[in-house]
Amino acid sequence: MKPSNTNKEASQGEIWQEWAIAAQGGDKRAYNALLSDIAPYIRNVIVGGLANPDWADDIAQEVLISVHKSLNTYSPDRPFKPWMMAIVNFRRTDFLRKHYSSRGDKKTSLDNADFMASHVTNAPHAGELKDIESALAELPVKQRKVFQMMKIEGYSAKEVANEMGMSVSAVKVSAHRTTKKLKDQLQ
Amino acid sequence: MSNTETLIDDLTEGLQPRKRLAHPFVRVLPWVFLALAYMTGVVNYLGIRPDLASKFKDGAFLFEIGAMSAVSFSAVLASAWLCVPDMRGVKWLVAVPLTLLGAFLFWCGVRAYTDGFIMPELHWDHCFNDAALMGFVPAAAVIFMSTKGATTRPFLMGVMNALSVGALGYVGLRFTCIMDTVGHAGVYHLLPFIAFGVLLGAGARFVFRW
Repeated sequence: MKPSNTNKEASQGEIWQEWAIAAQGGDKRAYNALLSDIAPYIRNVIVGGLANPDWADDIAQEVLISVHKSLNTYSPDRPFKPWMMAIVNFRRTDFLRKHYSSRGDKKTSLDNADFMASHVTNAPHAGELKDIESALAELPVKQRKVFQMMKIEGYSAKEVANEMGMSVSAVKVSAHRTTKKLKDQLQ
Repeated sequence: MSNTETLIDDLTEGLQPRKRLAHPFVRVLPWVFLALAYMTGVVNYLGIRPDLASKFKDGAFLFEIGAMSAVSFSAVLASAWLCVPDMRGVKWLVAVPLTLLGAFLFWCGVRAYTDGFIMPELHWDHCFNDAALMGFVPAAAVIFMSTKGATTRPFLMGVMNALSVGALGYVGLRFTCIMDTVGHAGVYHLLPFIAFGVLLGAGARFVFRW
């Protein structure tokens, strides 16, 4: 017989509970399994209520860090899911509060093609190339090269990693951080 | 490998065995003992009001002391439960001190109506100094206890911390100050703790961040 959704959720919660208890004892394998299992769950739970789906990853990462910091407050005699969901709701609210208080909802990025098409009519100034160039010039050499190869010249992360002598994940993180930094500077 | 996977690997790598947070009941015990011992010492240091023996036969006085002691104790319990993100499923606990406080304030209102409310002249009163002295150590201790947890309701935590300290301080002031009027108690006994609560509430996100 196929288990119902309720049963599946209950068993999933029990497995997370076991992993969390093991993680409190220092079991890294159980901890990795727990975080890897809850990350997509958290993302799926929050993504529906967000104006921008890209935020879901940021919030999910915040939640994972919070779970890590507060793991000692989890009590084995209590179910894991309500404990985790309290953190999810807290971090989601915190993220949205910060976003709206910094008037993030009034800003848009240069990647927003719809906005550019409907609001920017003076093509020579559309990209504010000079601003972008000067922002790029301020970056450390290695970071700029990674960004340029990946985002402007179109090399894959693996190719950049081979060229720069870095790991693929480090290249991706570097490119992501540079993009975020440039966005913040240019907005 | 995505950023999330990298983060999970980093967090896994940094995992150390964790000492679990004790049960909230156990966590409030040190505060209760410390606060009671400290308050007893301060009340003795400041001088017990001369008519205290006769006041223990006054039902209204006993109700006041009992209600505020219950507010203080239930608020510190709520603070300890708030240290756990989901409050261990007992979210209703914060309603207990708030309801008791509501009953106390209602009773103050009735007393002010029947006895007549006289707004005292505002000046720096020794009760402010006494309140600061009475509240300092219990406040530091309850904030310390609260920051060891991971609250998902920092503002409510600030309110509960302020209530636990304020109600205890109010009881202490009733043992040292001979003024029984609602106006004096409301202004000189409660105002310092209300100010403390407002400050703590305003800075709660910073104080209780984790």
